[in-house]
Amino acid sequence: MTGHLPGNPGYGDAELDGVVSTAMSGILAKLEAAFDPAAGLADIYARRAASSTGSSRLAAACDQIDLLNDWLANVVRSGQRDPIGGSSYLDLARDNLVQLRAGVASRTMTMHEARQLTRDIDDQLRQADRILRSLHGTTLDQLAGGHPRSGGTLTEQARAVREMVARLYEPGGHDLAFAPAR
Amino acid sequence: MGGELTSSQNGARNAGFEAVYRAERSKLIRYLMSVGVSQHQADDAVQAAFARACECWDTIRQPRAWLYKVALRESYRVQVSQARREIPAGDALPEAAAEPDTGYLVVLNEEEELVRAALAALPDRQRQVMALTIAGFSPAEIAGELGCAPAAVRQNQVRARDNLARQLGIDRRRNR
Repeated sequence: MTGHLPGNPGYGDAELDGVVSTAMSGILAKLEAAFDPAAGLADIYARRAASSTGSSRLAAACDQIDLLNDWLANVVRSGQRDPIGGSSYLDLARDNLVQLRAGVASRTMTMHEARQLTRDIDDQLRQADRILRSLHGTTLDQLAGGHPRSGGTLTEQARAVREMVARLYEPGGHDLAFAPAR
Repeated sequence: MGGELTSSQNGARNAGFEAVYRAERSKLIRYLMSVGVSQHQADDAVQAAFARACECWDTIRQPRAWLYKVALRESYRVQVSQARREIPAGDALPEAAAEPDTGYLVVLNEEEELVRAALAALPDRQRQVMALTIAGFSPAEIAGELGCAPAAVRQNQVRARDNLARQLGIDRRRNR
């Protein structure tokens, strides 16, 4: 900043302008002297790379949530043909999966909220499994069978959702701090 | 393939981005410091703003205005993010208060610190107006940035100058 600060041209208060101008020019000169452009640009490109990695993690987590939701939908549909106990818990788990996916995908969900949702989903799957065992003598994994896009059991895929979502909130994840709308 | 950049276009794009970075980085840090952001948070926010700019450089029509806006928003994010690291979510409050930001990129002298503190102590709108004024934006540009009329910008400039003079102990009456 140099010269007169606009805003009160009639006063001619050169002293105020001089004090502010000298101080702000001094700060700028010091920042410039300490500035290492090469290091700064390297940091920016590293941030970009980390951001890309974070986006990949987010995409993988969303794919995993979709896979589990799809699998649970198959189980619920099979229950409509041959009613099974515990299907209401599976519906609740699916609702929570939809909510979890929307929250992480939009990067507006806090870590606390995501943890709570994944805990709720685990709890609902456990309840469904408990009812299936007591009423039908089978487990949720046995009822769910296999999934064309998955090699593991449904319980293992649910655990994978929990772990992948938790990783999003680690440093270098997808930075789920509230992002102001632009 | 039509949307892809050739290597020479990429080079020109990077050169343009890097030139703006070299020219504006320190000014952006000073701007954030003048609205009350600590040096380290300002540095972090400016780097983050440039990282975002780098991702969409070709689509930014007014890089300077864009960077000032995004850097300020990034400074809010940096502050929230730091607070979230200091206070575990859903758990008890930490035993001790968070340590103040004691690190410095540069050490300010007494006059510089006085002016910086006086600017940071202005009411919100006056502070924003003065920080952008010092950064070289015109009242019309500031009005566009803050979503108000140029007349309101000038009025805030006048009030901010009065407040600054008072805080800095400058008797402006003798100049009238």
